[in-house]
Amino acid sequence: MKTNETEETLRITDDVINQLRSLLTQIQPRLPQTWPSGSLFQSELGLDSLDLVELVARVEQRYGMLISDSELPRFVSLDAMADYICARKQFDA
Amino acid sequence: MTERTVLLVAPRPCMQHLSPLLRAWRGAGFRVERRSYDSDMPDIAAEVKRREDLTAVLLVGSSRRAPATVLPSPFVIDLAGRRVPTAWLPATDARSLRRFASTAARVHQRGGKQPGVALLSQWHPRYLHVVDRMETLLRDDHAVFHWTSDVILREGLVEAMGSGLGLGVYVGHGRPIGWVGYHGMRSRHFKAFAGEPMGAVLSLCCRTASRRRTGLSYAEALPLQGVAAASFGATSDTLHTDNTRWAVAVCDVLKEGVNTVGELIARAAPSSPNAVAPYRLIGDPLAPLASPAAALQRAHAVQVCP
Repeated sequence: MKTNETEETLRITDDVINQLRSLLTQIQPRLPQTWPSGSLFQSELGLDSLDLVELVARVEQRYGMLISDSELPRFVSLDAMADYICARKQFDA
Repeated sequence: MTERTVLLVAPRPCMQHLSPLLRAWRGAGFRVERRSYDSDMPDIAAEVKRREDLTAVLLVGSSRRAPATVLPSPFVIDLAGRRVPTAWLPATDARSLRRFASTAARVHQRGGKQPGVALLSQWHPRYLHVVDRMETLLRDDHAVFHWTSDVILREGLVEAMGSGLGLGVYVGHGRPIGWVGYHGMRSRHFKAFAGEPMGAVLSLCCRTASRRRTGLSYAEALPLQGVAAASFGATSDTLHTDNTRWAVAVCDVLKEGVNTVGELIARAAPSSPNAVAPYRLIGDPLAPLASPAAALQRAHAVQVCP
């Protein structure tokens, strides 16, 4: 049972990562088709603060959630952002 | 098809000056509900909340009242949960009201289908970057004009704004008296404005609708001076992140297709109440955003530094 739950959680996280990846590619088309989800937005992918604010705005639209500006510094990678979204979705549900 | 109703609430003596706008609204297919008042300004936000048949509202009132206190936000949520664009116009004097009404009527009557957007900003990497991003988002399906303060001087911009485009969006620092960009753009710089009015001018920045230490705010002056049928500005400080949210959403809604400034604001408003609360819509909430072909031609001819 526990294994099933873990698998389901991983699947949801993967879905969110894929959605974020697609959003980010729309914002920055120069990004490659795929990259490790742990890659750091600023130092490894070369994203700037505007890209991140736009990403947050699009996440808010897509997931219907409000993200405070004070949360922005924690969004350093797809993994970090997906964890945040999944936790919020679980909490809000 | 549901009838689209616009509610105009104004002091009794002001009503006659606004008649060109009423005719233009009717000509555009709206049912106009007029309400005049003598002394106390009605609580329009409360009324909109109780109704579900309004498309937009324009509240006209004493210019002693400030945008921050006459209305709670640029739209009010009605009984059906819809965002109803709710605009403010200060009744300064008969001449200004007539100028506003004829400006707004002219914008309604000039037609045009293609959206043309002027992107304006202060000369600062942060804001130029936002404009670049907006241009990227819009350029596939919109005529976009990049009139930021690194490529055009204030006098040139005043003339360029007289091309008659449907929409102008400014990002940068703002003050109650105007934009910080262009070495300070003030309402007095439009005193001799004789160009074709814009549909709407959005100031995605701090305080252009604030009355702090100014008789009339910059955002209020633009429609009254015939520069645009409508404007949009903040009554207090705003956050750059919130304004970026607005900028991105404005582009998204423009790409999806939108006819009026009120609709644009209602659909583009970020979900965060803090991002919306400072802003007010001034002038005609139904100002069309389409640009006539002649306006696009004039805008293309504007000289900018390479």
